Amino acid sequence: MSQASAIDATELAFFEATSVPTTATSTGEAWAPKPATLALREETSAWLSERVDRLRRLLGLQENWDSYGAKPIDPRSVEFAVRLLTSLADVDGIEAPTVTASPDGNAALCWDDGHRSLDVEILADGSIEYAYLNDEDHEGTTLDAEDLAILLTQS
Amino acid sequence: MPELEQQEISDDEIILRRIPNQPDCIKHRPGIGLTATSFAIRNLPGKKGSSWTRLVQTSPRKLLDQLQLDGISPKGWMVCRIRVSDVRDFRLDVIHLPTERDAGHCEIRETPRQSFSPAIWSKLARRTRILTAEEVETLQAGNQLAE
Repeated sequence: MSQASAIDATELAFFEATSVPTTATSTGEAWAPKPATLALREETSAWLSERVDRLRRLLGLQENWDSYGAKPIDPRSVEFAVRLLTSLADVDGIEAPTVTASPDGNAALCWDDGHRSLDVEILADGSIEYAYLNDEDHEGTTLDAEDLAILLTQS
Repeated sequence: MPELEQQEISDDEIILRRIPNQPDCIKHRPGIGLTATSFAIRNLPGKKGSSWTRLVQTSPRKLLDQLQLDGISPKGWMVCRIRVSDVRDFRLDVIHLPTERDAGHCEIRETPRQSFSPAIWSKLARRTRILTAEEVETLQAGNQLAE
């Protein structure tokens, strides 16, 4: 079975049940105080469909795609990444990320505006590992897309 | 074989790593320039370090030509560089581990003072620079690189 067709209906049901929040105004416990709301765009970002295409193309990467032994990309990671990106594309002020992959076989996203950077790896279980470099650097794991939206939009 | 002898690596050395032509493994960072992404330089899970090569022993062209030994075309691949002192600034280390294929092979390793983490890879990535196509073709093993 090819990787692209490796997701069956059972797994899709799993995504529905465990996916990251798909609205930028979701609430919940988090590691940092959140603003009352994030500003949402009137229309989804124009970059979304092109970046989703790039995410799906990650599934074509073969074993050792980096020549240092990297793993093929897990389709579940790509599906979670698409959901995450779809959520973030609705938030005003979030620019298109670089779409890449980790050697562990996960989809990954990178933002860098010269003053701060956010590197995000989306794991096959839907959790998100991130590293945020700014005046105060920090890293962590979250299931909440809103956490990333706050990092990407705070001044 | 003399060339497989492990050597000390000095702070002012440059080390190199291949960067795939897909997916997007490079990042233009305003104020910094063209760098590798943090994901392009990470180690594999279960491996002790991230593989690089020493410019004093291996040219960027030779590093790319090694791909052909695995049946991979080097067309479109790039090379990133980082200074050893930049790695050690973050309390990581660079260890020379020569192989029969690459006498300059080395690894970025954890130390008792610093483990690998997403933030460390992000910080290292910002210290990398992607070599220009001209640099790839003209830099010889042992050459120095300006900042």
